[in-house]
Amino acid sequence: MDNIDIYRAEFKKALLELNRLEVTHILEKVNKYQVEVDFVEDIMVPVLEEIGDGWEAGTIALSQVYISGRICEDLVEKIFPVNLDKENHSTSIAIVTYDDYHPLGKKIVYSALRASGVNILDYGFGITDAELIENVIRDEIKILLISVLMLPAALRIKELKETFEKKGYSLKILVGGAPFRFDAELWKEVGADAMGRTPLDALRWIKKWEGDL
Amino acid sequence: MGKTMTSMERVLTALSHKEPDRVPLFLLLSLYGAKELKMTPEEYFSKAENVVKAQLRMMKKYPNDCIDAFFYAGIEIEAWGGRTIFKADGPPVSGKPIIESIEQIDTLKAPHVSESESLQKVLTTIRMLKEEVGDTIPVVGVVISPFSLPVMQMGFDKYLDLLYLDKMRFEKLMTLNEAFCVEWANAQLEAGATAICYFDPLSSPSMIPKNLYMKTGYHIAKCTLSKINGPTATHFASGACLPILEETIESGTALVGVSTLEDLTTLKEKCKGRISILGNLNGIEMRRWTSDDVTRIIQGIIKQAAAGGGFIISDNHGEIPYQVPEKVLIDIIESVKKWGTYPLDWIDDHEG
Repeated sequence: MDNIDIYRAEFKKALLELNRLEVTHILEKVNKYQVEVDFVEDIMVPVLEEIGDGWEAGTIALSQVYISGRICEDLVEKIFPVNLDKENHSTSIAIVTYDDYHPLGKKIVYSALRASGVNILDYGFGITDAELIENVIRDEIKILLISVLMLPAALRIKELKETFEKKGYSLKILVGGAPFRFDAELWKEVGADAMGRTPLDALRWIKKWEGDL
Repeated sequence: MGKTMTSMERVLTALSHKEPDRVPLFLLLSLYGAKELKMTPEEYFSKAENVVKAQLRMMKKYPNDCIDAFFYAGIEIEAWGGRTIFKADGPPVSGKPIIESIEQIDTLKAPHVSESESLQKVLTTIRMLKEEVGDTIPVVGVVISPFSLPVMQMGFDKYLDLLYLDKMRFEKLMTLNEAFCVEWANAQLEAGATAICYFDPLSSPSMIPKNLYMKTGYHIAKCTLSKINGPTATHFASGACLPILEETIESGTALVGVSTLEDLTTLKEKCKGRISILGNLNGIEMRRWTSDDVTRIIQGIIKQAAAGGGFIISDNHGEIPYQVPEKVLIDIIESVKKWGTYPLDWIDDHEG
């Protein structure tokens, strides 16, 4: 096993055990002894990806995905406080919990993306369609991540997409949440451009679309 | 061919791990009642009489083996002082959490069922339904587990922080929730509910790791279920349960609601003769099932889990979505009658 694999395994274990002290200790070790290693790119992002895949495979629980993302987000904010300024609006990506008051899914994706160095606006939850559309157009958002909990909310994305089309506003919509996990065809039905099953799926789509835009 | 059983006989036979006349079917039609009466969910759930009328009407229109006395999950939060947000075409959801800061738990008091108009409405519904149907068909009551209720009481993310970081306040909240849950379950049984469905999604390994469940949800379920004065079913609301199946069986519950994402054959092997299975139709996909889909799916789950009894067909989430067409429900009923009649000789014929 390479050193990097050992660090990844240690980091994953520390995250799943919610051991913040050990997480910081591993970061310090890597920075001291593995100067050629980029901690975020080479260790944190692959480990978050593995944790997301573990959730998808049923071996890791949602609470662990959430807390791991939170710990990594805090860590990245310590390492790159300027790059991830929450007030920095120089991004074309936003996320929202749609038509619901349960923002956990959104928070998981938000933390994982920020931990991966992605600037993203958080539109929160409980906002109306009109507010969401106004925000998206005002902020010139090109990639909108929509998290839903319930089926009716998922189905309403279709109307939202149509409203953007009627206004002549072009954007990519990535959807995620329980209804999409239980019906693999639903994202197409609601007119989304893709669906994410794990937080790092969102990162893959963002990278792909940013390349296309 | 033996005589046709009543729904109650069919269900009790299946639960005693014997083969009844046919596989029981639970269509959990709570919000669907609003559609039946052409009312908004808010209007529909405002009166016990509406729910009773719709349930009795749907019992004839969609003949299946239970009556669902469930309103919506957030009704328990109304008893704690919270409010509900009603939507036109989906289940009502809980509004702003009643616990906004973890410190509020220090002074929180559990409500009593007798003081809550919302819960009294459910009890009236159960009484009226029981009066109508007697012992011919089970009337199912529902409680949210003390361990899962805080997702609505305080929001999922805040609750995870409490669960991981503040053991004392977590235990205080569990004490309050357990007292409330037991009182609420027993009130429904006294009103005439045949059994209580104990919804405990947070205990699912999809939600929290097993080691945390063993220290929390497991003990809470064992303790709470032991104080409920009637039979219970434990439902993980489409979450996985295989890794904690032994503990679920140990908790003394009679029936487990299983996810469509887990292998039903494996579940059946592990449950056989020990606990009955409720499941595992995919309610989200159900919206667009054709008659052929229904036949294929019903045949499939009957093959996997119906031999020897101990199996009730139902959706895997605990509620048929409002958007499922009536035709699909009729197809499911017909298909269960056709393929679920014991003995299941057609399975051998199919497998040649």
